[in-house]
Amino acid sequence: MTQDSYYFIEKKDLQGFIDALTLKMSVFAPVRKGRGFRFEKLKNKQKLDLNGYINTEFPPKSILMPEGEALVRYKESMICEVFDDVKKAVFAIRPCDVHAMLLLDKVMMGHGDIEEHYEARRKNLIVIAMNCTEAGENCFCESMETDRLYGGFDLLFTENGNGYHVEAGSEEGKKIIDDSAKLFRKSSGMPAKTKPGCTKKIDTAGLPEIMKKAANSSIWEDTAKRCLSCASCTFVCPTCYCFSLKHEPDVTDLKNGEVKREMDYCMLLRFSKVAGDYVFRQHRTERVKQFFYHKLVYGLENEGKNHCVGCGRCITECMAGIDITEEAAKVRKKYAKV
Amino acid sequence: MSHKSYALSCMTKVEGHAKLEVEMDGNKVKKAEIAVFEPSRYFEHMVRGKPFDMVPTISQRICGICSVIHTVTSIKAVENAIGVKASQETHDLRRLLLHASNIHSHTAHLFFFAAPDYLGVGDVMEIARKNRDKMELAIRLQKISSGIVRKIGGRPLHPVNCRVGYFNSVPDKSMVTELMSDFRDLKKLSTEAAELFFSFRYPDFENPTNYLSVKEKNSYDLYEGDIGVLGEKGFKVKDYQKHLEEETIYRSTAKYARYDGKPYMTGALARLNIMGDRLSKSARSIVRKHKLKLPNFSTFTNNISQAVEMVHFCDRALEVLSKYEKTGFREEKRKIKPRGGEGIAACEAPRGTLIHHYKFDSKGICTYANIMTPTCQNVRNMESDMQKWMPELIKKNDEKVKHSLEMLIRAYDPCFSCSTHFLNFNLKR
Amino acid sequence: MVKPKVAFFGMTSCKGCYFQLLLANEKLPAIFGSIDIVDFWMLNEKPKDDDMYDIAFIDGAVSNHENAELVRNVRERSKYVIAFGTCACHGGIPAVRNPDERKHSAYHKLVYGKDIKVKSYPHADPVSRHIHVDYEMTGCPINEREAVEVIRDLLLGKKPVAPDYPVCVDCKKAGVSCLFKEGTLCMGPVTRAGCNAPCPASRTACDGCRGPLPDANWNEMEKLMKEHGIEKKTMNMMLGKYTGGKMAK
Repeated sequence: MTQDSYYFIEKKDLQGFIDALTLKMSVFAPVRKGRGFRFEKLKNKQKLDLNGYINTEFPPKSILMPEGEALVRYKESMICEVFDDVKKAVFAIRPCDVHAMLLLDKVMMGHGDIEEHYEARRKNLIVIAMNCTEAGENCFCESMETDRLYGGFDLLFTENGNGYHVEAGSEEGKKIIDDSAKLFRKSSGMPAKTKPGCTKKIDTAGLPEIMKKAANSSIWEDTAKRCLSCASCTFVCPTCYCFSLKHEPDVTDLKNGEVKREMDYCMLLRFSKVAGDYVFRQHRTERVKQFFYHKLVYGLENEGKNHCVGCGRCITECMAGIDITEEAAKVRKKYAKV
Repeated sequence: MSHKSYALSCMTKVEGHAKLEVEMDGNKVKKAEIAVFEPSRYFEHMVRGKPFDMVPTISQRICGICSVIHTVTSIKAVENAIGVKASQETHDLRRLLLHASNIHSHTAHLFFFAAPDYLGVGDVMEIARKNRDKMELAIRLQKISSGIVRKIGGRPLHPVNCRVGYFNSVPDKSMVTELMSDFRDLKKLSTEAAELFFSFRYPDFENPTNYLSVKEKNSYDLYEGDIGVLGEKGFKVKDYQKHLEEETIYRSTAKYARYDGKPYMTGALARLNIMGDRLSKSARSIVRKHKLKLPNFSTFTNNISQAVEMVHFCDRALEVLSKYEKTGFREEKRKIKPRGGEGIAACEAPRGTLIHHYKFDSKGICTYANIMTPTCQNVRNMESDMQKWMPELIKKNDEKVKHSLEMLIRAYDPCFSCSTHFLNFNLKR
Repeated sequence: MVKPKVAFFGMTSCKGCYFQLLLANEKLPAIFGSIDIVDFWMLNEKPKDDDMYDIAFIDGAVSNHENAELVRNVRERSKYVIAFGTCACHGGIPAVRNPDERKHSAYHKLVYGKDIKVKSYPHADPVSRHIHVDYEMTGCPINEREAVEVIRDLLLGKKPVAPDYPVCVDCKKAGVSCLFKEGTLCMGPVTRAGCNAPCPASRTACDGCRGPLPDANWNEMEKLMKEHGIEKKTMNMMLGKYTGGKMAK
């Protein structure tokens, strides 16, 4: 990035910046809810409170793939595809989640066929990322090399002293700064990026080959004995993208209706159920395996990137205490030297 | 002498299953009986052995239309037994639940069960076809009132939020504003309903009896107080078994009750007779406008009384909510440590006085339960009404007799599931 | 298109599921327009005994001889039978007394006296124990939207499919923060979804009112319950609350 891409904003001016932004577009920011924070659309002049914010409970993928969004509307033989190109911004998204978004871009738009509903939203999303100053209890982004960003953002905030260093990563980002020029001053550069200090780790060296050796291991059966198939892990994973289409005719007039996107989860029986009621992954062991292999092996094969960004949300949510870093360690211990 | 029997084998448009049998000898009533045989469910046996926090979740399933009142009364009785005191805010939230569910239940009875008789149609689906505006009034009333129960209680039916000692989640300031707006809407709709029910022609029939209800200290409300009796001293809730005796009848799965050996009536008419001087301004002006004199002794007035109550409880709810308009309700969760004991609670269900009575051991396990529902208290009065009216009705043809008696029983808004029932009518002339 | 003939019957229950159906709000008159309701026991005149139905809804558990006869009668006259409500699908609250079935005649006499003419079975059964049921719409009470969707699917000639995943999925979709993770024991992981998790949404643990999830991990659930200090007796009571005391396996 060129020299004129670095700025600084004082903490006391952050609210003013956000207020100005909400006047121009919908802004999704971390809002205190439930056990922590959620990305929610800010109301006009809503007060930002990032005290204690490390990461959100639910990932930001719902901004790009909202649950239950209508993809197609039809009225008798008139069919109309629905696209959302409203300009939006996501504020304070963490590097791991940006990496996840870049991965979803590869899945949805990088294989020739483009998922146009995703594309419409993605093109109109301003990404204002924020570096982490500390790691969460279950974070292991350092192992997955997702704790820092080299691109993929419009603006990148890094907390420093009484304000934030801000790097513009695109023309769009620069324009946003210009629109609130009074709140920003030019800066000579960014401070050195520090590691957040993750306590959890995965040794990723040669992991796919080791995992392949463990394909029939009893490790998966043992883990499956604890799994409740609640699908919480797949729900909170920022890279899980599977969805099915739900056809919803209007009960008052069966000739009209909608086709909706419904997120689906490979941990559930119905995910691999086909016509004739045959289920490919009837046993829990197979579904548990599918999750770990997709995250740590198939992703590299398909997109050249791991489908795990080390955000740790799956570890946080699992009621049975299943931990992907522990599973990877078990596999390495048993199969690495074989 | 001509003997005539009338049989109504399936009373419809009442909640539950019951059978009516009338035998006439000329114009003398030989028999006028109600047999209730909704399948037995043995609630008073089922809750024994269950922990104190599970008891209300079972009791609330006695009835699907009045599950809110069962929940609240059951919880109060449990609290009395195991020594738990709820906060004023918790009491107020429960009051609001009763207001909303009272309106919801009355709407169902008035529009789905009673209105067809007075609009001259067979059932509510005909109303949907012929009197669309009335159907929409009913649907809006139902939607808003059940929405209020959901907002406060977590679910529109079998509320889950309301626990022994506290509520799991409470309305914040913006929800209080929403609820107040809901009750204001309900008040407009209830006023329309009241005007509608005052406009109907009711049979000319009177049968003064004993009227009972829970009588609050100062207001016309449903939540707490001693038992008031029109024209008499009344009695304390803890003495209910001395005055209200239940007897099992061989022909019925419901128990029937008497007050000091006499039949009695509870419900909206009884409440209006006993607490009518405390009606809200708007409710009172409707009563005056239509020149309804209180106390009133016609069973059919119970319908009008329900509609008048709906207006009144909207005002009452707004009064309660206004205390929390600026602050919302406070969240409070506590660990409940039960102790052994006995507890009784009486609240006013839409249909009348409801009493829950439990005993718990020192671990908080239920060892005894007795539940008196309003309908089992009204059945003797239903029979007494039939006894009085039949000599006059006998002059009419069989169809008219059956229909009139059905209308009479419906006016009580019987909840036979609560007393376990289904109505079959047998009339022998 | 000829409107399908639809009838509703009630057995042993609190009738709450009936009221849920009536509370389908704005959709209500529209459904009445798409189907021909021939018998709605609580609302219209006496149901006829010999009509043929396209769809019959049965609510409530079978707890006496009259119930059993009626469900068999309805099955003979109906093309498609739906058991609606947890009582009809699993026995529900009326079945809480089932573990005491050996003491039935004793408590029946205790409650009603020895002269009572009316009899009931020592246990309350799901409808499926007496007749073949085409679709089980569970819930205590049902989710009225499910009723609307099932009718819609049948009108379209589609086979309705009940959710075969746990309440946890509904909870997450409703944006609810997991109660388990806050230290509250919740029956969500072993309960069939379809309710949109209203109880966890109001910070109350799911108590399994929609009945057991067939593929649930019961061993792990028991382990978690033990970790929460629940004794075996209470555990069985909680797991079997809506299924007549039987822990689903």
